[in-house]
Amino acid sequence: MTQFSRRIFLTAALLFLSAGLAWAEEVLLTIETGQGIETYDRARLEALPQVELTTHTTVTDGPQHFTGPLMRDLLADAGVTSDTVLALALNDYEIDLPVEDFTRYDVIAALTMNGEAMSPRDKGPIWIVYPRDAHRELQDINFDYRWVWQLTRIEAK
Amino acid sequence: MNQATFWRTTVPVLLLMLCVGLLVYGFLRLRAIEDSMRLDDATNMVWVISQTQVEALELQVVLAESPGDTGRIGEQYDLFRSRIDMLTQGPQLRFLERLEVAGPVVGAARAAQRLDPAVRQLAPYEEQALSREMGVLVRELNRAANRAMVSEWRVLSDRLGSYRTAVAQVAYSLGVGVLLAIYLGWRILADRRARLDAEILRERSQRLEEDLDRERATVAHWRDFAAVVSHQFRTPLAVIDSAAQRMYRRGQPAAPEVLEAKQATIREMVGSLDRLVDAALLIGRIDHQIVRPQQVIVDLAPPVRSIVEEMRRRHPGRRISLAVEEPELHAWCDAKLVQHALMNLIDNAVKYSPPDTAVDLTLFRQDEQVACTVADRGPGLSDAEAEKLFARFQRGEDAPAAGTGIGLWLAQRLALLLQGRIAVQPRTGGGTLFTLWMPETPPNQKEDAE
Repeated sequence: MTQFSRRIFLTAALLFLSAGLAWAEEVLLTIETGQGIETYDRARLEALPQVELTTHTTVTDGPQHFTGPLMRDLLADAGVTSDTVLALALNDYEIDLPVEDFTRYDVIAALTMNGEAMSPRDKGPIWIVYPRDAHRELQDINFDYRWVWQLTRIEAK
Repeated sequence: MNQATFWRTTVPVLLLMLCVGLLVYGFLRLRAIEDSMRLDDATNMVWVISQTQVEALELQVVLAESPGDTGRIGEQYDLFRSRIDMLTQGPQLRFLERLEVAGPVVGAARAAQRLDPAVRQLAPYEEQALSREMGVLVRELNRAANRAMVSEWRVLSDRLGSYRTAVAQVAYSLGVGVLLAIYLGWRILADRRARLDAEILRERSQRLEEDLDRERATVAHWRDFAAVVSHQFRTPLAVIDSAAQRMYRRGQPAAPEVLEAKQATIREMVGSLDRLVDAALLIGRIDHQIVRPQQVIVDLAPPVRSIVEEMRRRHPGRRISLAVEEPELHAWCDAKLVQHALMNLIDNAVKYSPPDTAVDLTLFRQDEQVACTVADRGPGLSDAEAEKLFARFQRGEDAPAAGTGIGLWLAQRLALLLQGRIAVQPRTGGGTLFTLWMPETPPNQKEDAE
């Protein structure tokens, strides 16, 4: 193998590796904590305690099964201490969420729906899911708009 | 069930039930409103449709600005797909079906789904076709958004209308309930007032009845009194008249002894008339409350002895005995009036018993009363007569019966005036026994002492 071909191979291998790493390390969620910025890839999100939640949603039929970390665990992990956070989605949806919601209810940052990872084409990568079936007061339009899907960024306010 | 029971019981109970029913109905309606005042359906469909429209337009822009840029096109296509996929499934699709725009929207969506850049890179003509499909979809979505808006406003308006109706019903039921409650309260008050009025009326009529009875008794009393008095006056006058005639019969004076006897008779009759006038006047004074007894606690033995002496003088041929059981017998009375009463009792006994029989008086004490009996051996009274006389005496209102004489009646009036009484009963062995009872102490004082 010539020097050139070896260089080609190395370059290709590096490229491949970096591409692979890039997929694995693709940032799904950015949290601006006020003191700094925390980024989360799938692995870091999955390293947090995973919670299962089965509930109806307003945009689907029948109960859906979700898994993902609790929002309060996620914010604690990032070091967010504010009372309100701004949630931003891929589709430019943005909404203020009171942090109290996450302490009062077991709200999760769902990564999977019915056992499959959610993609941006669906409602992924992250869907904020409220335990709607467990609390009657959550079955209200005032909470329905807090179900941010395609979540990509959280900013402490 | 009569009319009064119906109006006084059945109607109020029915109204009360109606009142409670209306309040319960109002309460239930309010609960229903509370439950329904919650936005839970897909009531934000206009927004969902418009967001899909935005992503479709964005995709058109990206396709126009960066043809062949797989990355940008892919990202925007994902965002578009997330919107259109959601819109064409589940509750959202059913909503579109209700608006009757599901067909065109789903058709345009299928066409766009066939041109998926993630499956294979799109050729330039395919990118143009995707852009055209976006244009079609945007127009369909526009129609859908219009209809959704109209539908949502209609739903909202219907809902507000039903709330208005419900609130009005609640208001009416509360209003009617309150009116009924006021009516019932008024009924209760009116009933109570009517009962009070009826009570007052009843008392008043009772008083009138009593007054009338008293007036009737008084009239009867004076009528009888007048009859008795005229009779009693006439008798001595007739005796005097006949005596006077005998004194001058055949134009010459009678023998001296006859003359003397007739004079004695005349004098006796005049005395009797005198006493009758006294008695009549005394009764009149008692009735007009001119005579007021001067009641004190006094030993009755001396005045009784004195009146017995007096009566012995008045009836020289008759034996009148007196037994006093205790040295002193104190009673609460007016001695003069007691003497008068006894005088009448003795007169009565003398008059209605044979001349050869005695009249026996006994003065004694019994049950905190001082009593004086006057007993004769006259024809006596049957139990029924005695009872009748006794009852009449108790009432003290009736005039004396014919033949009883004004004296008994006066004695009875005096006894009552002194807060005593006269009892009458047959005497063992024949005759009648009158007893005058006088209290030892004033009744009030006795009560105070207790």
